[in-house]
Amino acid sequence: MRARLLRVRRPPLPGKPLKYDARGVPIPSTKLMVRDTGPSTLADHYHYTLRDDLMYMTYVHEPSARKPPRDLRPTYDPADPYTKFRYNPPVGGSRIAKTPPPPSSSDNVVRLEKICLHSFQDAAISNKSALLGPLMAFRAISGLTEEGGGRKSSEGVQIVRGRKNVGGWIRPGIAAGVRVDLKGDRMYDFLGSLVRFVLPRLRDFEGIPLAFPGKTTNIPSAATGVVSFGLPPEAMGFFPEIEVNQDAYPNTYGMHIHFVTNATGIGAQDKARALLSGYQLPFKSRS
Amino acid sequence: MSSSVFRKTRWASARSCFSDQRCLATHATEAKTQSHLLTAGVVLNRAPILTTAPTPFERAFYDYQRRIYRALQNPFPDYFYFKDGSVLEGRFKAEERAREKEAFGKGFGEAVDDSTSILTDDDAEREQEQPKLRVTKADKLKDYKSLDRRGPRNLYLLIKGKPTDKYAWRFPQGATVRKDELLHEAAQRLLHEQCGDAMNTWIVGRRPIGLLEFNYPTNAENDHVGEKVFFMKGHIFAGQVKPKDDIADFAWLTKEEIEQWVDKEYWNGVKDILSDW
Repeated sequence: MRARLLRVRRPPLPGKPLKYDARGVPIPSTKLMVRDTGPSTLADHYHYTLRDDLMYMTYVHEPSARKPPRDLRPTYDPADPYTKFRYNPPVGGSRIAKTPPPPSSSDNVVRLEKICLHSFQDAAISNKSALLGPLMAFRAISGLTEEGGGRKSSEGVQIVRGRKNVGGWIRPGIAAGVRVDLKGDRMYDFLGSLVRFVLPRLRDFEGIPLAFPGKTTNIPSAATGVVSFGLPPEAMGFFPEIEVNQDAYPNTYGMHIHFVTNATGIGAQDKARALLSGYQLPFKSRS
Repeated sequence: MSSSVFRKTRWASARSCFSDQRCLATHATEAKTQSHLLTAGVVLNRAPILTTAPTPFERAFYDYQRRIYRALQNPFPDYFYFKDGSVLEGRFKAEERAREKEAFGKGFGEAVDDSTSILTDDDAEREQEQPKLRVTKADKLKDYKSLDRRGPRNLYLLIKGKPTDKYAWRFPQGATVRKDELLHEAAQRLLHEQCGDAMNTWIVGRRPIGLLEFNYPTNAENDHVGEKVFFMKGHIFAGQVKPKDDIADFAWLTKEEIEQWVDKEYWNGVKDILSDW
């Protein structure tokens, strides 16, 4: 027998007629929200294996309470009536690279918070429709839509617009790229397909490059728990969601991937790298 | 007057102890009553190889969420993903019908005559893959030496030492940390010495995860009164234990099983460093 997909039985009609929102979409009579639809392998892997190991690897023993941070410049005493309302200017310069990490505890073991994908399209500055391809590809890869599954926090794939005026290149408000934030189960699904299907099939990929030895580590990015790298356009075809009908896309697009973790303070990026290598993401030292 | 004299003599004896080597020899008996031997041990872990089986509540929750997800989702754009009448489209639709039926029950996802598809229902059913069973042969036979047992759980290596040892079943332990050797190096050496070199293992980090302190039996002839074992965590990736001469037996056990196998005193010392799952 030949077959075709058809929902035969109609869903029961509600008692009252439904209201419709501005877009003409019916508003359900109850507030519906889709939560996790199944167990996640990588979330389990973190919970039962990685978390313990990372706690042992990143633990720093502090037998006594920390000393309060040193005052970098004398400040006016607010208790003194003569200097009570005088302005204490903050210490200049970025302090991000100098913040110490919080004391080790079982609560702040490094964990993945979100994965941010974004792709800048040079051609989109003169031709808006050049964004349609990457927009479609990002929707397929992430499976996210705006307020998808009744989640108000789900932003779906967003258009990135220029913020500054850079002569001959970009102007404020010009659509120039797409981005999407992945969290929860979707994040682990993406990480799984990246590690299992994409990276092993990429030619000349030896790992996420580390900083050159001897380069100063006293930089703000080292104290934020974010690890970033880029994928070339040919990598997009290896995602299973794109691979099934790659010829439906006008082009292939490269992307930047940011893994955002909860680690903060000095050495946070190293903790994030330790976490990601636990998910089988390779790193390559440059010597 | 007398107390100050006493203080002076005690100070003098302490100083002479530091300077005079013979002093150590004469105080050997005193050292035996006080000092513990510092050794390394390994809690060798086989991480879970299967996802946890959901509880009945979790299963019902996931089923419910999947039904909502399926009912709310946008219509699937099959014109974008498949060529009309292709084999892939037929297979996808057959699978989708099965999922529809599973989610919403009888009456949904029924096959309807379609002249555009070239795939029949029989083809689709034949191609469905069956998942592997979660229960292995080792589970059924209760083969405690197998690493295939208890897939969703953390397994730990227990070994049985000499009959003269204080604890019969225990973790690999007792490597005296040599001079200029780090704790994790001693732990790796211990694994080679006691469990053979047929395993691919990795010691997690350089910090111990637990400390076990115990005294030797009073009649034992040892230089030390007892042992302080610093446990390192290890993972096994491949291979199997090949016990050396002084090891009588070994077993891979979960936390609850370890409680049944080891001495009560030993259990109280190590239970908190094991994973509940």
